[in-house]
Amino acid sequence: MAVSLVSILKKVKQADFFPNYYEVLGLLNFSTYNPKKKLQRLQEVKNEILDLNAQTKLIRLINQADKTLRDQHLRLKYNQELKDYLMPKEKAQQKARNIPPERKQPRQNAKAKETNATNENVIKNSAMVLGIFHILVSLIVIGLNFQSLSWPYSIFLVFASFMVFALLKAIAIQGFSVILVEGAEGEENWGLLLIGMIYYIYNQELLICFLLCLLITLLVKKSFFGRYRIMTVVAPIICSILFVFSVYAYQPLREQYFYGGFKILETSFNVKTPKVVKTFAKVFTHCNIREKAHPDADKLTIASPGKVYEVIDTASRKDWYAVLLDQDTGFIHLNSVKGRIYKDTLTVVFER
Amino acid sequence: MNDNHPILLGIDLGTTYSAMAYIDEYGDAKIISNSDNERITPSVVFFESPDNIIVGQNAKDETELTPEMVISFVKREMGKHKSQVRIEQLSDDLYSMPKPYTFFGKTYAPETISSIILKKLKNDAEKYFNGREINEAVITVPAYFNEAEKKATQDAGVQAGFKVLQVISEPTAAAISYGLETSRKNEKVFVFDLGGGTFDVTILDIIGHGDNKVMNIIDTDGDHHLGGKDWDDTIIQYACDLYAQKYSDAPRNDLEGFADLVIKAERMKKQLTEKEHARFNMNCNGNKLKVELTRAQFRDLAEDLMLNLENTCELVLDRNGIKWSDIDTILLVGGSTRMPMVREMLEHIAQREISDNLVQPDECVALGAAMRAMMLKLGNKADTSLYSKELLSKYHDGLTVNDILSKSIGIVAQRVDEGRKMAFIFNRQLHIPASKSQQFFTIVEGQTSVKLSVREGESKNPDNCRVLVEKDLVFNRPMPIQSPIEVTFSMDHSGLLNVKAIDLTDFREIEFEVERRDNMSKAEVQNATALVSLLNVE
Repeated sequence: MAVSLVSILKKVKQADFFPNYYEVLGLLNFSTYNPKKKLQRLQEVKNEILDLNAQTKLIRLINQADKTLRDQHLRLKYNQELKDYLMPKEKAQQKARNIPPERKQPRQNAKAKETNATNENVIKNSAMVLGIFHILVSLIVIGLNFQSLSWPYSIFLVFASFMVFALLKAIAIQGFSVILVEGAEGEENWGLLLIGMIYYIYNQELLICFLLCLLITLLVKKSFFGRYRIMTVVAPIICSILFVFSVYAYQPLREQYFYGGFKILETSFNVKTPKVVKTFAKVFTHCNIREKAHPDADKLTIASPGKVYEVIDTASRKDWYAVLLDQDTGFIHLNSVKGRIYKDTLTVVFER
Repeated sequence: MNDNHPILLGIDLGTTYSAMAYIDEYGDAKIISNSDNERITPSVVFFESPDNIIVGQNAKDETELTPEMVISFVKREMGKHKSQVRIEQLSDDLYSMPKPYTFFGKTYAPETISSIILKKLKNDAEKYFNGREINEAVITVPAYFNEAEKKATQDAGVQAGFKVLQVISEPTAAAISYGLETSRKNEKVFVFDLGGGTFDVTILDIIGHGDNKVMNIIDTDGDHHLGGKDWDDTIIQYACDLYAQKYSDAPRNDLEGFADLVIKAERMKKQLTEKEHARFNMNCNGNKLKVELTRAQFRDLAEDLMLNLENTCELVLDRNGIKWSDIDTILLVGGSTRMPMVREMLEHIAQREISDNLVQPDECVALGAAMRAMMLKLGNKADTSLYSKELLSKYHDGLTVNDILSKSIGIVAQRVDEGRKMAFIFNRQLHIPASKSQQFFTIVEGQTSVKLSVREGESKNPDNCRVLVEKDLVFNRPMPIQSPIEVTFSMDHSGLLNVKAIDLTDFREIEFEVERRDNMSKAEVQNATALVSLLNVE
């Protein structure tokens, strides 16, 4: 939803006013310049603002915004200024989240503290936990097979260990979501975490886990493929590679979150990274992206020219997203634009 | 001149200058010179004494000596209540108190001040025609004027002793002048009208040729607080800043010195049209300062104003899905279009060269208004034997003008699911004259009256629309809930609104007098007419 002209006017009157030209033109922060926005906003000013003085102020601001964002050089310079302006604000918000206000009930404070601590730990250790579990599970599978357990019992154990892995991974992933959702909407962390975990188990990665553990079991079972015992060495290596990929895929997410300047950035992945890593990152961020011509593309608030993408958020987060190609950095940003567009499904429109 | 030939005035009542024209017996439109033998008259009024009022160049000259008794730019105050005029913005959110037009103990409404200018034009025209009485006129207004402003202009005409045949928009008048005199083909015309105090753009189609042309106005937009005066103000501000730097003093404190600066700034603007560099000496509070400006510097100072012009042009084209390449002709109207920066900007955005000799920028509006007056006269079952063949062929069937409404008009209605919203009866771009009705229903059992609030604007939120009329409609009995009331809007050629309401339960009209909130009432107009007739206007 574009920021309303009335709220921009209110901000103008504040002593520490710094013009957010993206807001002024009805764009999302750091999104691509769209020349049509200026005329749309000017028409809005003419239609909705009766006071001549307010009209003049807004028109001047729109002209400045258009002039700055249209010019690549000015825009880059301005982006940096805006980031500098937004960063302390974001940090202050973050701080406010971590230190519960005094007026809150003690029980709520304790709960919030507990949640925040859990989330922070999960974020800090998630990649490590995941990697270790990959290795541990592989070793358990190999060890069990050396003990020559019965077939069904062996498969059950392997499957169960991967279930544990999936659950822990779900906690880790949902940990990110919870913090971001809570940051913007103040929703119940633990409720979301639980829903996320249940949903996660039933999503596509369960199938991948199952197939993977079955394959490893078949490969290491002496009685079945006795001459391929070499796989007892290969399996941990495969798991280690998975670990590396998982860290790589999470890294940008962590950086973006801790960067602090972006209130709305959920995650991003570099378009220049290898395709396989991008695919992996997509799985880890629960977004299936496919190109689609959207019928209402021109009505979008973020109306940058280019391809329209439909994105299905498989993690059932309550955010809405839009993808934009930032020409300056080469990153595709998944931007949260809450409650904005399509209400009835989890389908969100991306633009590149 | 044949004594039987009717003299109908076309009056361009401008913010800074006014002009008048008529159609001679051969059908040619001609400008009428004022008593000083000038083709345009400054729209400036000087109250010399309670009964003697000076209008024109002499009044303008008085600005330096007795600025407090001189009124300029009254057009910008049209449509406002007499107690709410001349409110200046002192700083960002600080406004001055209103300064009503009070002279020698009498307070005048803006329309009365305008009527004094019109009376001066009328007197000069009558003198020009050796004392023949002239009573009929078409008066022009900016296309983007709202209904209250148009009504105020019509009232000014009435107070000056005119029968106002029509209030017509300035770009339309200019286009009529161009359409009848110059246009030879079907064409899409973009009228760029930058006057002394107002700015309008209008897109129109001229269809047909020879004696049967039709002019369809497509859309219009503008800003009636943007004009040549604002370019003067940039020079004034520049000079004031220089002065403040040098003397740490505000030149605005010296009324006479500041009035002198205003005149010099206007002169400098005109000089910069002719040459690359201009200068003047500023005298304020006994201090002197040389102010110099190049054309390029002037362009930089006026950058915001230029952007506003550009935005309005782009906005009106974009709204109608028209590209610059679809426009066949660009008409430059208004004295301020002479500024080189204006033409350069237009040439840049339109990507073409613009011809400046299609119409005379200062005079074409008055000429077009005179043509319109003649068309109306001939279309009104006039005695055609009074007119020459040439005149009849040109104005009888020559050009049909389909004008439009520049702003939507509706009433405030309470919607069941959405609350208080605007219900538009007339939408913008509606061809006028027009009449339209809409049904509304009472919402309370036993309702005895309903508040009728007529507003103008494009927002669905009534608070963002300008109030035209507020009136209680009183029913002749308590009405049951959901009783239907039909509200009918009708608008004449001049763009003036009439409102009617019918109680559909018994098909009886609900009697009420339409009184605009900020305009003069009928009685006030009558009193002002009597007052102006007694004034000696030179």
